[in-house]
Amino acid sequence: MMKKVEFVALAVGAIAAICAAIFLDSGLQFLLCEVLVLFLMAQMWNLAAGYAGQISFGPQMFVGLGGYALYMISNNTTIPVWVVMALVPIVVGLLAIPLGMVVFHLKHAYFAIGTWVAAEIAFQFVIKTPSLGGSSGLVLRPGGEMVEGYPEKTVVAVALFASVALIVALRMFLRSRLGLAVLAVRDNETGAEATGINVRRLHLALYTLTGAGIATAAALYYSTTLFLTPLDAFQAKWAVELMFIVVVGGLGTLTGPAIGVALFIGLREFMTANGYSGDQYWIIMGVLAIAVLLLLPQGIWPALTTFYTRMTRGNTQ
Amino acid sequence: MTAAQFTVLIFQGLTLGGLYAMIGAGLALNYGILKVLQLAHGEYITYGAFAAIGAIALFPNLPFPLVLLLAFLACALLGAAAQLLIVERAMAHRNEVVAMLVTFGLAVVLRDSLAEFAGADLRGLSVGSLAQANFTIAGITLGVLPLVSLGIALTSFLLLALLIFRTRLGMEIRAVSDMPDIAALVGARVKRTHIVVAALSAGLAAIAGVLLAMRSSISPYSGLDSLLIAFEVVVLGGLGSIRGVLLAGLLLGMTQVISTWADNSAGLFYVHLVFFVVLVFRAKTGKLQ
Repeated sequence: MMKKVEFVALAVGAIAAICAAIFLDSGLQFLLCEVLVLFLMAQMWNLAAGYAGQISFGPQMFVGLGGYALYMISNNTTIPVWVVMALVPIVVGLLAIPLGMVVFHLKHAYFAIGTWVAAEIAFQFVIKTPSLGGSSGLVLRPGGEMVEGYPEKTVVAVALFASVALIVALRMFLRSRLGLAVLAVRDNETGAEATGINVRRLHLALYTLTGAGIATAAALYYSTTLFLTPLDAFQAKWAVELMFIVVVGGLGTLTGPAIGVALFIGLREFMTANGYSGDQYWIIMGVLAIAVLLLLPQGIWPALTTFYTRMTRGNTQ
Repeated sequence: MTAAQFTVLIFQGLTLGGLYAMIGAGLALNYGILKVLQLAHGEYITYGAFAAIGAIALFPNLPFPLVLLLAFLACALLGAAAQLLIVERAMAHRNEVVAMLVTFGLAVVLRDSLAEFAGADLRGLSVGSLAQANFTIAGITLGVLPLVSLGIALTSFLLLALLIFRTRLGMEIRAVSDMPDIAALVGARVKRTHIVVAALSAGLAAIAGVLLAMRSSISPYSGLDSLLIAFEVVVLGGLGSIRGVLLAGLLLGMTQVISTWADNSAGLFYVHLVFFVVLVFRAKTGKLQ
């Protein structure tokens, strides 16, 4: 059931999405697109890693699959881009099921490394395949025509609403029977299995869902860039960024990734605006990650909530 | 393919395999003993290469064994410091994922510090006349450099095996790896052992980095590529087994040389594919833990 506050959040999200599309200038819209796309992906990685224990080094597999699904279907058929966008999660989700059945033979470290190698295999395959554009990549030409206008205007609205809707959906999901099963498995896998939860099927469902989610966010992102190279889509940079965002913000919480993205992009924009280099930015991010992990190993958001409850409890005593 | 071509191919596979095994050696040791997935391993490899490149730039007449030793010591020191100041603290945490993620932050700091300090260019390690030197046996011409590189790799493996299985320090390391609590009870210095292992593992990475820079060029951003190869070698060799690492390195090296011969645009496609198929097959047949 949807709570009243969630319904209000959805409505506010819809209004904010429309406002963002109308009032923001195009540079800001592009930046906001990046922020929201990263948030959507981070939330997906968080759902798999923080709630299902599937720490994967290979989310770039789904970034690439999403981008290539969008470009290949749009360029080679007359289906409008927006319909293709809705098809991407279905196509990639269907691909994720057999892939998940293979990688779920692997556990823990093997799983993390196996997913990374799987992404590299996909990357090398695309580079070797001329009909997929090879190493030079693809240009978005829906039905053979160049894209006109500013796609980020629409994408920013969709991504903003999708982000709000995702949080509401995840909150509802975690209250549902299936969501409670996910939490039970996270806290004690053997115990959860003993109460009759099919852990394997649950993990596969989450893998498929999060894969399709990352692919959709990637499709949104690459519909604004208008071109796509395998080196960009399949690079391990995606895994690095998502891990930073989720780990610093707070693994296994819904608010953590939002804080992580805000820090990640905020610091980057601040440092580039003040003339620091990209390397200097990453050094700071690395130090920040180490410091957070050593001092607040759960991440920033769980530390804040613990601090807050301790403060309020202190007041009532 | 003539017999001569075949011999050359096998030779190339062996030397590349030796390098791959060397890239994985330190990681296998680190994971085998400390049980931490060391994500900064690729960075130690890069640092080893840059230490050697820097040493030769400063002292062009430095003999090669000394360059190798210098790179080993520099990275061993770095590895020990990182273990003492950062990783050891994270290992105290209940959840082992925390230690892994800390090494991930460490990797990023190391990578971008090097890029900031040395620039992002690709560099190679010039080894003078050795680079072109070759010898001919039974009408087959082979390079000296790959042979030297294979020799260094095999010697490193031999020394590592001797250290682990034939010395008192090795006994302590094995004890700490197998049963840390009981080892501590009978007087093993657990923390000191961890630091020694981290230093040794980073030093081995440095040797791999020097060999890598002699063979091809390397940039501050090469760490992730090295890490991936190291992971594949270590996982294929059975997480932590030294002999397994050597065999896995040879298998992947052979795969790359033969697939490149058969298909010009092979890249690492077949290497990754072979790794993935073997890994899943072994998991399916219950050979993984």
